Amino acid sequence: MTEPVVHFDRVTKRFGDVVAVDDVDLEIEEGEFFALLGGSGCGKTTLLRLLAGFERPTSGRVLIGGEDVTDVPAHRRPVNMMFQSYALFPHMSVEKNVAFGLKQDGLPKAEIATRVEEALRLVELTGLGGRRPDQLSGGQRQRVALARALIKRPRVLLLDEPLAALDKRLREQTQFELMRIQDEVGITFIVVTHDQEEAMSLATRIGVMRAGRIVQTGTPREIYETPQNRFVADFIGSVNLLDGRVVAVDGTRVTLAVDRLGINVIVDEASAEVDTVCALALRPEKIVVSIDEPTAPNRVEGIVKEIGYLGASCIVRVRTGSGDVLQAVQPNRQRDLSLAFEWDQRVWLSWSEASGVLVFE
Amino acid sequence: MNVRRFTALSFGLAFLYLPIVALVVYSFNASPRVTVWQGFSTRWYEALLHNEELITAAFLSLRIAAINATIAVVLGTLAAYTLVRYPRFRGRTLFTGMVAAPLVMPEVITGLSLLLLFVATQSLIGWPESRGVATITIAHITFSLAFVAVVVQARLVSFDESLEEAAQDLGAPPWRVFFLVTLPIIAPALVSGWLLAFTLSLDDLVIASFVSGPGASTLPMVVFSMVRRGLSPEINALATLFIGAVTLGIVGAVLLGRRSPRS
Ligand SMILES: Nc1ncnc2c1ncn2[C@@H]1O[C@H](COP(=O)(O)OP(=O)(O)OP(=O)(O)O)[C@@H](O)[C@H]1O
Ligand SMILES: [Mg+2]
Repeated sequence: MTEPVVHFDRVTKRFGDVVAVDDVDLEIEEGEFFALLGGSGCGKTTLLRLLAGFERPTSGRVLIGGEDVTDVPAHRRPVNMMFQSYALFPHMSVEKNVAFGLKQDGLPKAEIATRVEEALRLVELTGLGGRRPDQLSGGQRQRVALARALIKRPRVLLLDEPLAALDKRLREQTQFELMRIQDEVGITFIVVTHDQEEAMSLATRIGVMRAGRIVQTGTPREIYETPQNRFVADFIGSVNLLDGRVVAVDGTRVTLAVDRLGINVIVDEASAEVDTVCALALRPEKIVVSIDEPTAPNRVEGIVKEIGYLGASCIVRVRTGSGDVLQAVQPNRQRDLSLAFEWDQRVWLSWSEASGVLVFE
Repeated sequence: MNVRRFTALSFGLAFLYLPIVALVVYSFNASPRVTVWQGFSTRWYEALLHNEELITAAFLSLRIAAINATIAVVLGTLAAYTLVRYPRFRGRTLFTGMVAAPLVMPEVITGLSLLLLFVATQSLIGWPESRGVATITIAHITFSLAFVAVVVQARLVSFDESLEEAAQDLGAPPWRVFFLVTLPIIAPALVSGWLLAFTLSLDDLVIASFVSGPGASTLPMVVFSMVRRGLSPEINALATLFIGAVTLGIVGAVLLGRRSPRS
């Protein structure tokens, strides 16, 4: 087995009373595009800074390529960082900014020049080398910062909210560019973000953080479809959580009594013990809204309280007899403006046995 | 602008600058009597050029001012850097207060205490052998340093520390980070501090008088003794040149202090 390129070995970081990173154990493999996802203040930046060498762990070890770098200062670590504020040197031209890292290594001038040119081409900034950072647009600055961090060909590139300062359209475009560049240079990327859509579309693997801990790691699909706990289910996308108690287990088929709705729900491909208290996490797009009573075993009746038109789909909020509101997303398959159902109409919600997962905690 | 405000402002400015304007105007007076206008002339400026005592004193003052400013910038920057970058060391409050104290200390007290110090060290370790250029320079550094520290501190507070981290991240060891990134970015504040220290030293009469010795008279000291012997238009000419120099220094300091590289 090959060594992971990054290994946080039970790392904890405290700032006084605040535990910013709490006993994190994480391995990242060569070539991954790993996203750290979590709410504000959950410790994402601190984790990156521990890896870059700007913070020392209170306990635990940080390994890069199998080598313990816990005591190695930032300027000797084979990782480079792209800062959230970009941190471009205001007194240097774009070229000088990009060349900075290579100059520190004492490379010959000619080689520096070719590599700077190459890096600028990679981020599509050819010809802007003579400008100062304050003569660039936000998107161009972002790309200078990227070129500067990439030019030393680090083992790992750290990106702290790389797209946060860009507007929505530029952000989407840059996402694809980041993926193209990662593909081209083949360096391991670790990107911090609080935007779950960004994490889903960029990363090959996501680590969801909460209060200094990593609560789940997995591919975007795993994180979305099989969240391991309520927090992850709720944090990634929107979700309906149906609280209940397991009343029957037949192999991987579990029956959950959802008392508030007064129904029994059947869940396939689950494992639980009888009498466990847990919840069914059900994504809105997995629910079908219909006027006639469906034949599916998992169904509940309610009244349409709200319909939100989103263009490609509609969000339908339905209030059940118990007063709980469930959310369903229906694709708009026809241009016809009149939907099959309207506000205050009585409808049925149904879903298949394999469309939800049980979450504990 | 409304009339009342304009009047008030004119009075204020007149109060401040009328004496100086009078001085400048009379420096171009042809008459040797200070208060009688006899037509335009630059004869007092020519006379100045032949006044050996004044010229020697002027060069001494400039030399002291330059050395003082240079050393004060180095020490003041170190003090400011420590205060801003290590915000939680023990005794920080005390140190902050101590760095700023010379700003408000009456000059007479600063001068007197420095004199006492020099007298004491002379009897203890035999240094300084005699008071003069060295003691004046040291005395000037002690208070200029405080001004430099304040100016540089202001610049460092608004300094984006991620710039230093970025440099370190790209492989620069801490000392290189300081010289390649920190220093160039705070340079305008250093120049501004230097000019300020230079001007302060050039201006100082009180402290220099305390710690000076025979044979080391700075320009303000010579002027002061000349004036006591009686007013002469020559002094007006000298003062005009002085005002010009100091104004340039201050304006330069302010302009440089204001200019900030956008980040
Ligand atoms: N230098 C520091 N001193 C004291 N507390 C700190 C320091 N740096 C971070 N913290 C605290 O550690 C916790 C985690 O901070 P961190 O910056 O890692 O969060 P984050 O996940 O990056 O948040 P955001 O999405 O807002 O950037 C926060 O509670 C923060 O206040
Ligand atoms: Mg952060």
